[in-house]
Amino acid sequence: MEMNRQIFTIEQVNNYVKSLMDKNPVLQNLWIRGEISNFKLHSSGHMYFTLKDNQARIKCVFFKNYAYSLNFVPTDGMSVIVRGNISLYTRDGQYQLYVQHMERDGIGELYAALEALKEKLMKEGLFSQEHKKPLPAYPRKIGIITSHTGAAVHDVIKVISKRNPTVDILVIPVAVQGENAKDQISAAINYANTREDIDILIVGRGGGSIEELWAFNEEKVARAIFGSRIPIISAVGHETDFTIADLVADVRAPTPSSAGEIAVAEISSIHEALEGLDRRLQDTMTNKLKELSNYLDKLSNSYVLKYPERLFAAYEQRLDYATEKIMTNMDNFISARSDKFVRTVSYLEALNPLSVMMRGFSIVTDIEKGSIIRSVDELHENMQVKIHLTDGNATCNITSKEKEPANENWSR
Amino acid sequence: MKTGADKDISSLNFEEAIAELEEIIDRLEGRESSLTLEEAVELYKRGILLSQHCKEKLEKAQQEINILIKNKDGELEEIPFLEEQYGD
Repeated sequence: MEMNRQIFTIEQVNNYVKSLMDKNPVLQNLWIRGEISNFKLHSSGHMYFTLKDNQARIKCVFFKNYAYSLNFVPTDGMSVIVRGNISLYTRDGQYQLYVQHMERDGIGELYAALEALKEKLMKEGLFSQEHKKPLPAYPRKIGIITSHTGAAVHDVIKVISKRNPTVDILVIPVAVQGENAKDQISAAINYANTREDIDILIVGRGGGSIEELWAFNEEKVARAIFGSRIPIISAVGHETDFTIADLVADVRAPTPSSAGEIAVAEISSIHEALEGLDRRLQDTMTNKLKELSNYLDKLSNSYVLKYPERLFAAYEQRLDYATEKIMTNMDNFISARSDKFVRTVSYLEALNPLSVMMRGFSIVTDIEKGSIIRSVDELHENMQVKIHLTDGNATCNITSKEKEPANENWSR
Repeated sequence: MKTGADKDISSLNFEEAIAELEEIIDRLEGRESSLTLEEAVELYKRGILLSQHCKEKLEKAQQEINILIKNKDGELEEIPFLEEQYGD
């Protein structure tokens, strides 16, 4: 027996074991669940870690050419499911898992729960646009609810201080991951709302795995954000991370630094806005005064104020017209009277006995009685009568008389 | 009509003051027929004061960065937030 012994080198043994393993179909394609520990990313791009559970552990290597397609960075404590083949690293005599594929464990359930909660809150209207509160344009104090040790708080403070070093900041420190995170975050939001001095709240944290961001997917946090009187900007993780807190918040900032930019305007733009208002105030007043003075000019150039005498022209005209009218009336009146007078005069003329006598008639009067003789009946023989002519009279004796019967009608 | 005009300007914060200033300008710019010259001049004067007040607020403001902590007695207290005290 001793004579037949064959002595191998270690390498030969390891190579032999390796060849047995490589021939075993079971070991060629295995799915294994476990938790990552001792994770190391080598500068070559290869990943080395140990997969463990409560009972055992196994060495793993994840070569760069397989690892490049990962959509997350593996970290210690992360639960994963891997697929690969078992082989031996002959130099160390160490068997290990050569990983070809890795996925997050439990993520499926996590996402399902997330979707269910999202659906429920959406139906309740927690995400609806009508509940979004506008951000004040000129906040005096910003509350930051996040971890006071993380990079997020630094980023926000840096951005705000740079943009507007007159805006106050109150950091309300909370755990942003782990068991207490959801209680602390919601309590901090409620506390901030008891104060009167905070104009905007920024709630968030820096990037991390979905488990690390999980507090921002909790219903309790969502309800605290929804109930906040103070407008809330969410700032959770990176651009690509979308949590329920982001959906409920009044404004979602892709990163903590951009939350600072959204919350606070550059002080130079505030100065500009103020100058713009000053200009408008001056312009509008200048315009108003110019307008009023133009109006005043227009008024003083108006017809009546410029030619006040024309105000009376109409009255003068009326007066002239009236005067003229009264004159005409007067003339008419006078000429009417005058015509009548002339007619009367000529009528009187006609009655004047002298004028009758001028035409050759004469008047005979009784000398004794002095009365006018109208009829031969008043005459008798030897009666003395006087004959009146226009230029004198004569006394006569009646010698005879004779009545003309034809003329009887004439006497009255 | 006199929205906020009775309020003492020195008691206004920046946002209130700039909001009232904007409102005054809107009223002056809008051809409000009921606005008499006297009222316009009053509004203008108040606008100037509000604008000055805003500028003072901007210049005098000293930024405070605090952190809320619980002190030994378990009461909430605000102390200056010194970033260098907290590592990443």
